[in-house]
Amino acid sequence: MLIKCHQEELLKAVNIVSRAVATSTPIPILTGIFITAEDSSLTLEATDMEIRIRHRFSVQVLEEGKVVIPAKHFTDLVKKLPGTTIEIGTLEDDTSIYIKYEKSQVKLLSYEIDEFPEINEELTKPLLSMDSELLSESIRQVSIATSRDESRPVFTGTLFNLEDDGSITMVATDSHRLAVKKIQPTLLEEDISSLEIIIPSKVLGEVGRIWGDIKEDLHIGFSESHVFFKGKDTFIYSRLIDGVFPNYKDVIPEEIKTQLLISTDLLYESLGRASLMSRGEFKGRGSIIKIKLEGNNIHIHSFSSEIGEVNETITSDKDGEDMEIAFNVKYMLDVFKVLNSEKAKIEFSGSLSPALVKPSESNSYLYLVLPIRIQ
Amino acid sequence: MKLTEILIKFEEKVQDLLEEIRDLKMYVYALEEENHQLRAKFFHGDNDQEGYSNLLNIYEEGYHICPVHFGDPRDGQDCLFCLSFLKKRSRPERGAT
Repeated sequence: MLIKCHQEELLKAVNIVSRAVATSTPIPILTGIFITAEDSSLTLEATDMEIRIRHRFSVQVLEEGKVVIPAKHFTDLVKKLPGTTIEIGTLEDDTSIYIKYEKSQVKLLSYEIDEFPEINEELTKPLLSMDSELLSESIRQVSIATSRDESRPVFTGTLFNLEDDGSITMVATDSHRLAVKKIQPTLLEEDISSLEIIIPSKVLGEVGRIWGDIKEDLHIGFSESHVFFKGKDTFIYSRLIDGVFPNYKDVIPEEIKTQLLISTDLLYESLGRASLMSRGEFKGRGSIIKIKLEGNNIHIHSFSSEIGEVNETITSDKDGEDMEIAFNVKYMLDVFKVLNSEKAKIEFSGSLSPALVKPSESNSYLYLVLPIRIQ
Repeated sequence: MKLTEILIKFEEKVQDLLEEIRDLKMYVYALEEENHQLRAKFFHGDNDQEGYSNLLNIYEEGYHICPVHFGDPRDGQDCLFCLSFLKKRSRPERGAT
């Protein structure tokens, strides 16, 4: 193998695939990056057997070939290389590669390529496609409610529910809050039946990270155990989370007692200031802010015995009863950060019932958050 | 070490493992019985109101009562699924506190 490419492009590719490299494993080959030089492109691939990421980019291929090299040393090296043309080639003994830059050269021992685990190619047939920007935005909106508690695996993922009408409902919850987003993909197969899969948040995080700034049609395919996302240059393949997602529809309140329509930015900034004074209070229950709805005024109060207190008053359009309610301020800040709507609609059904947050002009997204019980 | 000795040691290990499995089997059996009795007590009690109160007490003591994580300790915050479960079982509708 012999190729030439620019350091910046190589670093970008290494950064994309290195997230799938196994960090602690008894299988050394999983700590490597599989590199293939073919036609006029270089493909980098890594897997920890849970997730696999493959990325391709154009390079000057002088001699085709394959090699598996230790990811950590290669990544550290590429980061420190000068921003110039890099030459990578295999040495005669076939157990190492050299990396040439300017007048210098590095030799790196390689792994046996046959040991690198192959993918089940049967699962690479796409079933639907979706705009990458829409998917990335939806992931941002839903993933805020994902749990990090590994003892409850189902909650560490996002439910993708393919409905009978061809839409996908994405749902995540940590049991204190719930985020639901409905999106419309393009179906590539006519006879797809409705189904539910739970995709690990790590995988969706990678999808959002890789395709957050790229606009293209993403092809998506899945089986009962795996899912893949495929763009023009990048491919992600992962195991699904095994388990049954709880019936989330049951927890969405139907009776609404009070409804607010308010500027998202105004409320976000106000909550942000209030959050400064709520640190350290109510240990183990998050930082609490109290909200009092009185006429068209919203009074936001936070208090810290060690720092001080904040009293904010902002106005909104209100319909329904006055009330007092308290929330973990982080849970509220999270949603207004990703709502992507000039105005927010907030619906309350009592000071002990979950509140609903939605964008004012669309019903495609909703966020449900439990209040905190206060004396 | 001779092959016979290796096999004898391997046989001992398998026997130890079998013993552990037997112990585990009895332990799981006891747990299943306990679980069965608890479910019978809380979900199919003769008195619905008593069942509801029992569930509410367990929840207030800091444990999940939702089918997803029944019996697991809560982290101090309320659980959407437990509250929804309690709400469904309360007749007439009652608050969570």
